[in-house]
Amino acid sequence: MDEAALAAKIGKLVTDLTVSEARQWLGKYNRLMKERKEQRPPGTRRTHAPLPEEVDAFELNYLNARIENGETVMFKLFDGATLTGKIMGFSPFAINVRQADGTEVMIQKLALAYYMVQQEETA
Amino acid sequence: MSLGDHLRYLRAMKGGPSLDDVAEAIGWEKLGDISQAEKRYRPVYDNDLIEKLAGYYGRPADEFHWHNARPRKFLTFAAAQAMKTKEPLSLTLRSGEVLTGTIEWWDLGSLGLRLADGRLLCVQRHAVVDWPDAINWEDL
Repeated sequence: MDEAALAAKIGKLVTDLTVSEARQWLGKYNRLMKERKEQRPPGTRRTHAPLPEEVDAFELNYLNARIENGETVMFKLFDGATLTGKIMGFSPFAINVRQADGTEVMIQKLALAYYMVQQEETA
Repeated sequence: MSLGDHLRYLRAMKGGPSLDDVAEAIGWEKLGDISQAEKRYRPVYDNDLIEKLAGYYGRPADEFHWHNARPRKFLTFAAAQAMKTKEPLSLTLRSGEVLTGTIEWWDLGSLGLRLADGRLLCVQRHAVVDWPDAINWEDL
C-alpha cells in the first residue's frame, strides 16, 4: 500500500497524525498482520518465496571461492559491457566489486549475463 | 529467457513502473496474474494477458510467445539432461553470444558452464534466451 492509499484509508496524511492517532493505527495494523499470519496453513512457516541460495548453494559457493582465493573476476553485462575486479561481497541480488583503480561498484545480478575468473595474460 | 525474465527486463527498461501501474494500464483486474507472469518458471497460458502485456511494452505478441515457449523450467530440463549425459550444451544469450560447455551445476538462478578451455562460467539464467530443442518439452 502506498502513502496515498494509506492516507485515503485512514482519512489523513501520515505526517498529519497525532502521536495518539499514530499509535492507534499502528496497533490496528499490527493486529491485522497477526490475524493474517494465523490464517497461514498449519505447518507452513515461510513468509516469502525461497531464494536460489536457500535451495542450492552452487553460486554462493562459487562466489565465496572467488573471495577466498582473491581472484579477479570478469563480469559480462547484458549490454555486452565488461567489468573486472575482485569481489568484496554479495547478496542474493547484487555483487560488490573493487576494480583495479580502487573504485567499488555494485553490480545488480539482473544486469549480469555471466561471470568468470579472469585469466592472467601471458607474455 | 522465459517470458517472466523478458517482462522483468522490459519493465526495468521502461523505468520500473510498478505492477499496479501495469495492471491499471492494461485494464487487468487480478494483479496476481501480472506478478505471476514475471515469476513463473512455467509458461503463461493466458493468451489475452500475453497480448495485452506485449501491447503495453510496445512489442509484437509473437516475441512474447517466443519467450513464453522457452520457460525456465524447460531450461532446467535441458541443463539436467546435459549434466547427466556430460554432453556440451549451447546457450544463446540475449546479446546473441553463444556459450558452449558442459553443465557443472544448475540452480534456480544460475548455471555452472565449463568451457572447453577449462574455464568455469557462472551464467545467469535470466540472460539465456535459447538452447537446442528449447521448445521440445512437455510441461509436467
